[in-house]
Amino acid sequence: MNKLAQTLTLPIVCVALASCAGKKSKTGGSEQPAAGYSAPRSAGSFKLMPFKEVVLENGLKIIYVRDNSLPRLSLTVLFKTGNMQEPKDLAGLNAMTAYLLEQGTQTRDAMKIADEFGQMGTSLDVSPGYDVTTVYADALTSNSTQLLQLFSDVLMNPAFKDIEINRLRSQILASLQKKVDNPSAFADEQMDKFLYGDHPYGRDTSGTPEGLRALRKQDIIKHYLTFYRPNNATMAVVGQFDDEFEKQLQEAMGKWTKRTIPALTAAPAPAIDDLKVKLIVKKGLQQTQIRISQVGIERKDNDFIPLRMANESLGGSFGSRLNQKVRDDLGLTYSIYSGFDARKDRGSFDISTFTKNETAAKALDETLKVVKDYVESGATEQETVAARNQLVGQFPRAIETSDRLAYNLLVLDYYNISYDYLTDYISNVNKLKQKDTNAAMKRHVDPTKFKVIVYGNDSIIPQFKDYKPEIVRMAK
Amino acid sequence: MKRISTLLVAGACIFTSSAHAVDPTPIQPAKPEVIGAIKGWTGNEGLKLSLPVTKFQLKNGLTVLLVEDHSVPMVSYHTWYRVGSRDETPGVTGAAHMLEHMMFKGAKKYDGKAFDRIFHENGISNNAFTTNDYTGFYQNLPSDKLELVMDMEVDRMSALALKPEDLKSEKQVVMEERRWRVDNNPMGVVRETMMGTVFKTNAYHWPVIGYMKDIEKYDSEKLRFFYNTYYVPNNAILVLVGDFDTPKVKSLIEKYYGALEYRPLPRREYPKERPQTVQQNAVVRKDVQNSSFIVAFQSPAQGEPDMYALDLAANILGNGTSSRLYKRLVYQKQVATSTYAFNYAMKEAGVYATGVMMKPGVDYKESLDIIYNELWKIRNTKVSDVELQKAKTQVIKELVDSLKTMDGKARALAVNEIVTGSYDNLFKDMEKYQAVTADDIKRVSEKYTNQTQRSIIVLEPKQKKGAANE
Repeated sequence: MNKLAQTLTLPIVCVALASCAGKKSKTGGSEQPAAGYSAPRSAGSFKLMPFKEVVLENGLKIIYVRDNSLPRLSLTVLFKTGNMQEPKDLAGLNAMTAYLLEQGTQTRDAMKIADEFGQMGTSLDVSPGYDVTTVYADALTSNSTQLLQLFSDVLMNPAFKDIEINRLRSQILASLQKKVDNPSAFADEQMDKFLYGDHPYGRDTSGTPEGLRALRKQDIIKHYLTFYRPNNATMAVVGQFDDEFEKQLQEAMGKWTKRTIPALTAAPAPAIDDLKVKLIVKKGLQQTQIRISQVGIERKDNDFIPLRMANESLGGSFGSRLNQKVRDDLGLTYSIYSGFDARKDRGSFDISTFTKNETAAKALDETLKVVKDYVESGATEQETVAARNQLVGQFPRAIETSDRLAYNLLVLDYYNISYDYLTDYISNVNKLKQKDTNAAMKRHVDPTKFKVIVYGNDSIIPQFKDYKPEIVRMAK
Repeated sequence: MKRISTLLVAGACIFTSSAHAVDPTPIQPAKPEVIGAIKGWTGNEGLKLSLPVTKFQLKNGLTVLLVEDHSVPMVSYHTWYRVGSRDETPGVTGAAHMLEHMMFKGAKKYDGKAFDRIFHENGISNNAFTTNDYTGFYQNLPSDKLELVMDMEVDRMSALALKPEDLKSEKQVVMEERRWRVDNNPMGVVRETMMGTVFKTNAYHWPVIGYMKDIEKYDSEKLRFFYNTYYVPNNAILVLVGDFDTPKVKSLIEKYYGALEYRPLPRREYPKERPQTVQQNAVVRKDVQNSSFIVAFQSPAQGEPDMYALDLAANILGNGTSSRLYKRLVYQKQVATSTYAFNYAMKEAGVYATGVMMKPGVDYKESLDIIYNELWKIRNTKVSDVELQKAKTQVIKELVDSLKTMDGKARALAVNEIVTGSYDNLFKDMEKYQAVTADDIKRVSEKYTNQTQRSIIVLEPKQKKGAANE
């Protein structure tokens, strides 16, 4: 029962960051990093944990982060494939391929794989996404050899048996059908569709019922052979391991064959020319979910940090304008937040909230008012200082554990952004002035051109007259 | 447009919700997180965990736990009170949670909206939560903000404003929270029904967030009574983990908290739950796509000897794709989208349960029989050594993993101190799980999971839909 189920992907802050130099580092007593490991740092920030990079002949890049504080290690592989790499009429192809990795290899069936991971106290965590797909598993150091064997087997030797394809297909279809029972997830899905249309970002990362029904075994095999390749992946190895393990791992992963990776692009998301509201009405709902979005930025946009900072004051925390107005003053909701979701292609700027059916339109009115005022007049100097302090003060948590550090390195590597991003983060945030963040907000957010999804019961319809909404009724 | 709750500074959320999203189960208490010196690691035998904890108590009864950890220049600051929904009475259910909200609405020195504003301006993240047994407030702060946070926490521990006009608008917020968690969330309704069915006489019968009709009626005088009674130093624990100097922080705590007054607590007598002697059934009908059900039992309180074997039994039945229920219902029979099992131990009692989410269009009755059969098997046949070892490894690994962060360490220490009476039980748990035998699992299953002790909660679609099996 948190005060607010905040799910914000925001970093942290302090005014004068105490340097941890000279204090015992987290690398478990070994004051000197192992050979080949370096701990980058820059003035005004503290040391990152030491890490090193190796690129194998087959093109697989491996990032090693040693951390002896716990007797465990983790393996992550990030594949540069997601919704963006699958045809619309086979939507779900990437998710099926990813989930099938652990449903049988040439030498192990699905249940054996589940048991072997389970025996190590772990499981394979597979996350197909819009741009990338990650595969993760961890274990206690005493099981590191078994973990490597099993992990490399599922990556390199999947069997893609018909019976498993059909089992999984039925499973995902059932999950998609059930989404409507989760108002929050359903509103998100409908917003994606409304905002992105036929663009791959407009679809659930698990695919569509039509796409899932259409795809065949040969499509999966072809997708796997095309995109699940060492030269289309980056791997992170994190935790307690030694030189010998590195050697073993490189030997195992070196057997993976590379292929030429095709470059794909998608048509841009449809333009929005004014405010468009869509009401989705379902009987029996006790509350209305509201989503407000427009197309935002690519991750490589130079305004990424300024926008993150600008968003702090608008909808990034309890102290933000949206939260102070819509939740605290008006009592209209339990949760409201805004944020930029930056991706390979242009992501989105979203505001998300919910309220009782009776106050659905009022919540939208008030939210849009706050946004308009903020974009037009900008943050005050006091708000700017607070936002800067949040970003700087909370930053250390983003790299507090070796797993988090490695994950950030994987993501930066994917976007071809230098690791200096982390070492220079604090000084870059400290350089940002009120006028910089306000200008960035003005450049990227147009308060008159949102698409809006409202998911509530019949009683919301008359409230939205002035918005001239499109109305969709859910069949019973 | 998905959000993930992880701290990623590098950019886009690349994890998205998977098609196999786990269906919600009751929120487990923060599992003990154990980081620190680990000695004699050979397999899992002889695994020892410890953290360098400094524990002391002020004259006014405030219990303090400190762990120095300089991995990043931050401090995780936790203030937990020994008060939860079990301290309420019918008619004022949810009062402990409401008070948790009011703790952000100003005190004497930091009045009005000062809490949100000052945390925000100083780069401090903060939140709070309420459970059946305790209420927790926490901050993650840059280490140079420690005195500021202390000053603020002391202010709201001793002089909360509790203004009627603030209560009026915050009640609206809590009603929205209830709609979001329960009324507009079929699984939330199922969870509430389950607790109300398993527990008839003790305070776990009602939901932590309270009933809507009670939320509507709170007045600030009732909440003030609650506050004056339970928000006292001798009913609180303070746990700090992070980048500080122990002697220095100790004297700061004495300086800031020392002046607070000890106030005797009322004698708290919680109604004991009577053992269940006859099967209970509850059916919830909603406009949903698929049926689901829970088979639940009363189980022992946190830290009781039988808890450890039941935790492992739940793990064997329902944890992950290698569990008995997953293999049988999701993988082999392909009638369910997910299965789960848990043993949720609280201060007075626990709930041991298994649950199944059916595929749309599939009737649940055959699966219910299969669950009865699986419960019978675990009562009548010993689990294999391999399964037992797997369960132990999973539970222990979870314990180890939970200690990765400062915040995780603080939570683990706090929950053990407040629920079991000593943080030290965190480190003893490992050995207790290790000591469980196959006979123990059979014995506790026989003791707690018989037909007359069970509660069946079913969620059914209002209208039957056609089978969607492919």
